[in-house]
Amino acid sequence: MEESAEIVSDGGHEAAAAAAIMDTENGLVEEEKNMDVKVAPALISVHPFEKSVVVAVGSELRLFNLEGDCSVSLKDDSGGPLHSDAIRAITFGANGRLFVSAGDDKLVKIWATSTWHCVCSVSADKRVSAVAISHNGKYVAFADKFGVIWLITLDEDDANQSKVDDKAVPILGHYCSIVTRLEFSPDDRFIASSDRDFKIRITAFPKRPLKGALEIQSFCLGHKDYVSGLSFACPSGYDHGFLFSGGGDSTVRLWDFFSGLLLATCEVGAKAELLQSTGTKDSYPPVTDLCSSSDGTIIAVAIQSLHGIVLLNCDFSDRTLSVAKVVTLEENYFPTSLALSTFTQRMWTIMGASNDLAPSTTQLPTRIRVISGFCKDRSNDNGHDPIVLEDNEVPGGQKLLSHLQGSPDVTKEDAALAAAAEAVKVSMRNMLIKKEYTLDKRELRKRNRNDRKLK
Amino acid sequence: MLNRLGSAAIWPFFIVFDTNQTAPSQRRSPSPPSLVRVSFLPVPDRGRVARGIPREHPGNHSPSFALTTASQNRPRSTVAMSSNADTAQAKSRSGRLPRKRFYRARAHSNPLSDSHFPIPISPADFDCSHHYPYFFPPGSGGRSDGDAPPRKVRFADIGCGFGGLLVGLSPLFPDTLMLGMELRDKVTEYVKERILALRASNPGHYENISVVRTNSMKYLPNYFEKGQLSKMFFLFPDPHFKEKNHRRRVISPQLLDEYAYALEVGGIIYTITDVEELGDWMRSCLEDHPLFGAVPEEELKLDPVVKLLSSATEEGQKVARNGGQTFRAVYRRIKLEEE
Repeated sequence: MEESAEIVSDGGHEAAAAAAIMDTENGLVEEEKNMDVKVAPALISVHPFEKSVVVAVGSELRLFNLEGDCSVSLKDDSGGPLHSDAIRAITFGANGRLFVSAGDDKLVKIWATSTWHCVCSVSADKRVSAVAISHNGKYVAFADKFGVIWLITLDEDDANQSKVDDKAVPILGHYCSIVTRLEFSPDDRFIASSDRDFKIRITAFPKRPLKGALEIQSFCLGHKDYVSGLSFACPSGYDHGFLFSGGGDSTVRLWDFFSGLLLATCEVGAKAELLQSTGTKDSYPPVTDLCSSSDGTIIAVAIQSLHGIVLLNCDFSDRTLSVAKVVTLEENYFPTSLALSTFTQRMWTIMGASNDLAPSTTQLPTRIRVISGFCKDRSNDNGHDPIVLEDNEVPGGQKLLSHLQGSPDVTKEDAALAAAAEAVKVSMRNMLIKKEYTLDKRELRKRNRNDRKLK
Repeated sequence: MLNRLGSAAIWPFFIVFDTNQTAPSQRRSPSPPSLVRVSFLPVPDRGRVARGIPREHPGNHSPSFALTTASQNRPRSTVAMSSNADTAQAKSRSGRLPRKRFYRARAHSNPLSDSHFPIPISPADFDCSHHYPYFFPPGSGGRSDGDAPPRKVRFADIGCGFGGLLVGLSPLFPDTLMLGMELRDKVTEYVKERILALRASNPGHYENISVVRTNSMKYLPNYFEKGQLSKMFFLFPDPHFKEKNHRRRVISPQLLDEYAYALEVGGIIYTITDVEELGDWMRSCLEDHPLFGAVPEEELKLDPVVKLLSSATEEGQKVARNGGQTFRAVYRRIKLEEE
């Protein structure tokens, strides 16, 4: 006590200033610690003809074969775990023959859906943040966290046995920015890639892409935050088609991707809030996922902290994008990923997250809801509304749900799911949103720079 | 104010000292500079001065007077442009060139870090009238002459440094808008003041050059549309010798895609360096890129711009002064041949 009193009397300025610095420093360290917790959202992907549904949560892949009405365990020659870290991206090929999974363990695994055997496993240099399969099934593209997009060539000469040249080739790069989504255009002439620096890059996908995709067709610029969803739509009667994108700025945008022109913007966050009238907010929640049918008649958007999904209406000739309907699900259900089966027009949604703290043996809970009954004919206003299927109406029924949800009775896991939803929110924000520092904080960060710590 | 000074106490090398602002009233007090130097203590108590704590002064000098002398005697002191922009602008309006020693900055800047400066959302968002008021008189709505499309920036000097090339190019192409892009804010401020001063002292000239603070490696497409540029300059870029830092080099196979996007077909990319290793790297990147083709030597001899590459910039003059070698690579954007 005496000592501190002395300091105060001696030089109150210094002591107070030092204490202030210590305080902010502690705050900073704590903040940094929080940022270290990485949580990956649960993902869902459905076979284009709804032959199977795959769920990725944490490092686990869960598969249910709807044709055979049974759960399937994936096989890998290596014998070890399929993935050893959080899976960040999964997707089915357009023809349904291939499936790709990739994530933080820097492995890209390509599966043949006929046998669910791992065709090849390519190791990447960096963590993988996005994958896509070309519509002709010849190429798999993946993006790493350094913004480089790589290509794997699949050689489908001998029928089903895909032979793979398991070396990835870099074809293009976003300059050191996390690539959030990758998507091939339906005619495989372009590849779209979006990043956390608000950009969507449309690159011409050449006939011989291994030399690199050098020719940039356009940049779609207009988002004011990271881009979180991409989806092409090719309504009949238009030459090049369109691109939908969703972003951290709570908007969905319609692009003429050929020219990079922004055609329409829909503030889905604001609209959804209004329709629900849950009070006003300063900042609107980011779009977490977006998917659309290839003709653009169904556009579904998942928004953070919205318990449901937003369906949009797009008029391509008028170039307008508007909210058609907000499908609300039960409270506390915040979908983290969406998947649409083009064949059955059923929308599969999932909620859940990886959990670093839980022991790897525990089954991470997820919750799946399926929405059906999208009216194909929009001219008929009396058409029935989309219906949220009850658990027993879901294709595959209870059997599918108990396997994919990782728990026979997921309703007991409400608390865990709510915690997961919150963790995903924070984690995605830390990863993708640009950090804003005050002048003080910047100075503190400079002092704590890693290269200064090492003497 | 206290924060800024506090930080200065911690970082003696990044001292943000602004003599004009800290002592506005005393600035005009008539005190002969020679007297200041004589009476000044050899080692100023930096911490105290920086925190604005008055100290005991020999004789009858006022505290703020001590501040003035302290910053004058400190060899590495810099002047924060943001704080005395008004006075600096007043100076440049009167046509006096800014002095470089007040704009000293670190030689390197991290191009990978998240930027905190404003960036246009898209090229349409870039306000030309603000940068080139002469070509965009108020009320014209961006259209300079009749129905002609609005003028666009045609030359980009990436990493323009202290702006020597822009100033050299400006009279050669008086009707072409040129934009310098620089990541270091103090250097950008210097170029800004330099251009304003040149405009003020040479009315009607230097109206076609301007500068922005930006990270061109990340945000080039936010400034230029497809095929908008006819010339791009990369003069004496940061060499980044370490292999793990090669991705920070401003010429790289992947960034060339973006440069090819911004350049019109036939547009020219000029690169020059005094580091042989980097010269080889830039040449091989350009050589290997299918969208670029070398410009023949005879053509380069006729190009008035080429002479400026090594002579106009501050960095080039330094190399010439030391009798150093330079390595040049000039390539043209070509159309991709269909196979």
